[in-house]
Amino acid sequence: MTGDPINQVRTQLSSIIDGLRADPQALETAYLCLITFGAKANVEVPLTSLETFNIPATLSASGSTAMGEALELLVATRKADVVPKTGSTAGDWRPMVFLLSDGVPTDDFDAGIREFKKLRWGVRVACAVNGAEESNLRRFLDASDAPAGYNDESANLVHVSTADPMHMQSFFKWVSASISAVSGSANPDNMTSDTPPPAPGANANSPSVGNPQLPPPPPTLT
Amino acid sequence: MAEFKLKEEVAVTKTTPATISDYQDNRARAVGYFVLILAPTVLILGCLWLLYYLCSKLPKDFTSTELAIFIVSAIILSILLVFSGESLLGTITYLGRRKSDNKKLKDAQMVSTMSDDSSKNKMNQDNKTEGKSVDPSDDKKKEAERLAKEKADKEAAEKDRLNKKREQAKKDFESKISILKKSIPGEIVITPENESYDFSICIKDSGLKFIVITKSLPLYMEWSQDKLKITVHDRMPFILAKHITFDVEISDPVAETDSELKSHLKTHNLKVHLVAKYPKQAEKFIEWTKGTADQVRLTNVKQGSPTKFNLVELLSFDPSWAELVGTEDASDSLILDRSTNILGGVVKEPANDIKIIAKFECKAMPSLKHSVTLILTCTMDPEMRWKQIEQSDSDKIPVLTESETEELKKMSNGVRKVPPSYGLDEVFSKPNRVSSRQVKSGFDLAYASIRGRSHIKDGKFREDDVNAGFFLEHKAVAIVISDGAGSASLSRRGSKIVANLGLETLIKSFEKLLAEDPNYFLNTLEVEEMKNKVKDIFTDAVSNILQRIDVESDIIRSAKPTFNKKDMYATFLAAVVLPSKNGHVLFSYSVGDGAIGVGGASDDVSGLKCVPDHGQSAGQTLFVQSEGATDAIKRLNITIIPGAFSLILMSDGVSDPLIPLDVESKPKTWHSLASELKSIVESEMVSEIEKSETYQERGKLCEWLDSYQPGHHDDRTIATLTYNPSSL
Repeated sequence: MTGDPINQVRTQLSSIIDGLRADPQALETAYLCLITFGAKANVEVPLTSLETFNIPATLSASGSTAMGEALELLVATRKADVVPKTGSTAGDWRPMVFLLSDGVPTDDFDAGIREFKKLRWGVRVACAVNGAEESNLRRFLDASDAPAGYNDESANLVHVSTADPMHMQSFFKWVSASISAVSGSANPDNMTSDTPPPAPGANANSPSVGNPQLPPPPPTLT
Repeated sequence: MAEFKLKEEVAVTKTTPATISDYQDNRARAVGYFVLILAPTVLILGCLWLLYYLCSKLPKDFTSTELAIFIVSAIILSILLVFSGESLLGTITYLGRRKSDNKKLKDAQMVSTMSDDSSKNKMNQDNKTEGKSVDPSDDKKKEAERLAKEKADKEAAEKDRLNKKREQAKKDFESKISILKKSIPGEIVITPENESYDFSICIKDSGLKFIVITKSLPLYMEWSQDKLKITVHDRMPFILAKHITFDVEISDPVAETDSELKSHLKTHNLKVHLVAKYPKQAEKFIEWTKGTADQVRLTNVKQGSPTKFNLVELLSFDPSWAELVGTEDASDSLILDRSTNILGGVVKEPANDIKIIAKFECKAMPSLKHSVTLILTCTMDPEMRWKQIEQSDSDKIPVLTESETEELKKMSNGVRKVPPSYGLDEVFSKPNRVSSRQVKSGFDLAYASIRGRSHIKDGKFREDDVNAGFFLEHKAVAIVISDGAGSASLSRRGSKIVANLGLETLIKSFEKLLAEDPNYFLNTLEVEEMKNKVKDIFTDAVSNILQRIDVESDIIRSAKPTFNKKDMYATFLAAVVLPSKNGHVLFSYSVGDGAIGVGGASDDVSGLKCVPDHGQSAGQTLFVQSEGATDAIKRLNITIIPGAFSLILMSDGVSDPLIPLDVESKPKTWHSLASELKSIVESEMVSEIEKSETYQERGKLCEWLDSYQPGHHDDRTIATLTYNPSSL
């Protein structure tokens, strides 16, 4: 992703940060990690509290699409920085993952997805930017090849177009609302696989299954 | 035109063979021509005759020697013949060309004469004189030759004059340059006090023209041709460069006015050297400015929190060469202490990217300045925000949309048809904060439950619930608290069922057990035996709760088809205290997180009295609907407590921020908590019925629950039961 699209992502991320900072719950509890992937995957900002987070002045994701490497990097970052339950702390909540791409993985995506699915995650959202090919994004969301108990009910695939700033804005608003909702939830996920209550009106394709707090994505994005 | 033609003539003359041009006058030239024509002619004729003579004798009576002489002679004669012929031809050709040249010359002179009267008259005179004595064509030729010679002489004289003039001008120019060079220093030193050099003094009297080749100047130098002055335009790169060399073109103004000298007096190129002599500090200062970004982001600060930034460390400058002279801050929030270079203060309002300009001067050279823009983001103080929310919205009724209200009405109407309703209203509401304190038979039983700030902020209902009561003539107590899952839409109803039906079932069951065997707990101290006796009471309580939830879910489903019993997810923490053979026996049972513990008793009986269901990640737990909720072997905990004790039950809203997991089982944790709560509970008013409180008029226990813990804003519920035999 280069030029205008990545700049738009940066602008929107910036407004997400502003929005989240206005929410005291998110401000106290949310941590963000930003990984970009182009020819190489790069941790732009390691897992950082919302209070101290600042978006880099420029984001770069040019060249090919090292999506597999990005997932491996994500896993490594999670293992390093997300605090599990320890003797004295309850640990962090399972991370929510938002994956945005306008390309097709050009590296060993299988290796990345294998590593990714070894861990259990909170909400996963894949966002196909500008009509990007979906099959790999679906694999990121799909839980059929994941270990037993893997919760794929909180997975969403959405589409955004950078050509339409309003479209982009509505996606990021939704992301922001989702983060806010989950950070404000007393029980964002559950200990056993069968425990998440289905949301009212939920069906297999409903975005809100397993995370009733997660607002459904705007219809324009689905 | 005339001049041009004459020049052409000179060129022609120069190409004429040297042997011919040696003849000095016409007469001599005529004799020469004669000899040149006659001699070869005679030679040719002689040779021809000799050849004829020799041939006529051939081959009559030749001896071999004679034949050889004959052949050699014939060859020599032939060679002579060829050379003579060639010489003759050459002479004839030359004479022919000479004639046409003379004609051309004459024409030229005719043209020249038209513009020169005296020359014309002279020519007429000459013509007359010549005309009298010689043939007119010869005269013309001679006259032309004479004129050409005269012209050549004149030209030579002019050339000589010009050469002399040029030589002189060149000498003058060179001497002026040499004087000028002496007046310009080999190295011109530029200092902070004088950042320019004035060449006008050395040039003024030199009589020379001085032009700086601006191309050779770096961009940071400026040249003024009018003032003949070079000035440092941007001193930083100049100081870093330390010295520069540039080219100057020096010309003699004489050459411009004198066309004869113009092409001859070439400009002179001179290299001039400038050296930057600035203090060492200036160099350091500039090197620092080069290595420092124009914009530096400071770490974010929190609204209202005292903030300090050590700018020396942050911007890596040394006050011995850089002086931070001030800062400009549009928000006027941070103030610079110039003695320590610390920027400090309090930013009162959250703001993104506040720009603070830090202004620097070089210590030894204050005219050398630099500024760095510091970018500062101030984030909201969540505590302040939470307290605002708490104060303004604590007593507000949760917000429901019209359609939600309609739906809830339908749901509650259905549920109301199957009593008991447990305080059911149209929207399954519950008071935002409740408390209770009853003091009986040596027991001080108190509880409080409040809506968490996160629910206040979002306009949601309190999801926790609590109930407690005495039985067995106030000699026994049962307490149940429940935490409704935030992810379940009607968990507030779930927790209410758990707390009320749970308590009701437990009391009934124990009453029934004691009715059958009133002295059971007074006779036995066998924990395992007791466990077998009472485990069904707890599993039955859970089962009853589940059954009720199922019933209500089924009813609600008729109003809302997607409703599921999981929408009433709630935890279950229960404790029953009965008099025993040795003091009291405590039965505690838990499904989900939160905690039950005992303090204020001996260490061997104090500590955690449940197995909390913490997940691997925060927020994960079990609910009464979960598999294993009725596993009494695992979940039932029995403790015999002699003497005084404090039993404490709390939802995870209290235990998460209050009790670190690694010390939750330690008696000390519970002793100190019991002692902290004792005075708070004792300040509560005793009342037979549960009170609903407002934020402004809250009791001490609710106030204690309101305590601020960053990141912990869930509903909070606590219940304490203190037994003190001395109060009996």
